[in-house]
Amino acid sequence: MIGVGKMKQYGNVLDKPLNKGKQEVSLSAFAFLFSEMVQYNQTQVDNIGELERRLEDAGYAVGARVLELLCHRDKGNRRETRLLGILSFVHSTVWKVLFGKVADSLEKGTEHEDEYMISEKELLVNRFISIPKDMGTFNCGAFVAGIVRGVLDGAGFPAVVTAHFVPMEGQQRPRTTILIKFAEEVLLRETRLG
Amino acid sequence: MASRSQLRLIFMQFSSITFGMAAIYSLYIINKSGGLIYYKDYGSSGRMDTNDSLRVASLWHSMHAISQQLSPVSGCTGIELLQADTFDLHCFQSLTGTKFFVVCEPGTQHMESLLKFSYELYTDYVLKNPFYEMEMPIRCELFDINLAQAVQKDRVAFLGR
Repeated sequence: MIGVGKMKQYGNVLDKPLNKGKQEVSLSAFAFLFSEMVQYNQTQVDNIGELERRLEDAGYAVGARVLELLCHRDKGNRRETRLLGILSFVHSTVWKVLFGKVADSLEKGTEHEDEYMISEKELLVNRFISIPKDMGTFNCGAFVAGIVRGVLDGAGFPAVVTAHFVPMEGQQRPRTTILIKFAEEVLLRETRLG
Repeated sequence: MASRSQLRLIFMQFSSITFGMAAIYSLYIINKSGGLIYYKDYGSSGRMDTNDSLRVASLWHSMHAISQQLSPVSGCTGIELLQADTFDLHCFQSLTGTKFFVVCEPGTQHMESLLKFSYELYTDYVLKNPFYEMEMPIRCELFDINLAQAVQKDRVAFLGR
């Protein structure tokens, strides 16, 4: 920006407004990077469960950072403290920043009080991925599950998060459901808060 | 290199599938060393068995390579279209040497765009799939689904527009 108009001088770097940054990256670049990440992790493990865990851990680091960034950028350094608040934060704000759209649905589990589900007809990370038959129910959405766990854990809502393929009636491809099972303490706190 | 009798054999087999209703008979993808990595039959009759399709693939690979050297013009990239009495063979070679070719009814239109489109699908659903090993046979569900959609007749016409 040298020589272009007169730039406002900020004495302190912290006074500068936080740049929103470029909003989008190339899908192909991401797909290739993600593919390489899965391939690398595949060479490091003996079984599929281990691979799922490694992808989840990779996602966890993203989630923790995304929470920090979005709380600062969108919420004026505040974070959600209630269960439904944080869930809709993940479902809309986080999803929009990461995938450019709000998640298809957010539901409460019917069987258990502590379970919630975020479903996507076609998860962005799975766009180009076909799981071989011999890998059974493995889902690369484990990475996204890790992101969700990172966000929730960072916000003080420890949970176990897993990704599953759920077959849909009348659809050729199954959808991906991110299943969130909150820790007991979270629900106790929630009832205490009323 | 295949002898003349072998060539005739292959061509006779092609002619046996021309009675099918579909305009596209089959689609092949061969890797840069001539190995068949994808084969799909769209004709309703006279399907080719695995050995024959492998033979066609390696035969085409050799013929394509020879045509490049025999060509009177310099900078020839190989045969793009082979026209026979009973079929047309359209071929598209990608920059990395992977060849896509389709065998179809004589005079079928828009085959170049179909081949380009299948190349696009290959780069998307095969190369970006972490479970695909390079140069190996393609077994990707999403690739199958999308290619089947593309080959549907009206889709072919749509691509050509």
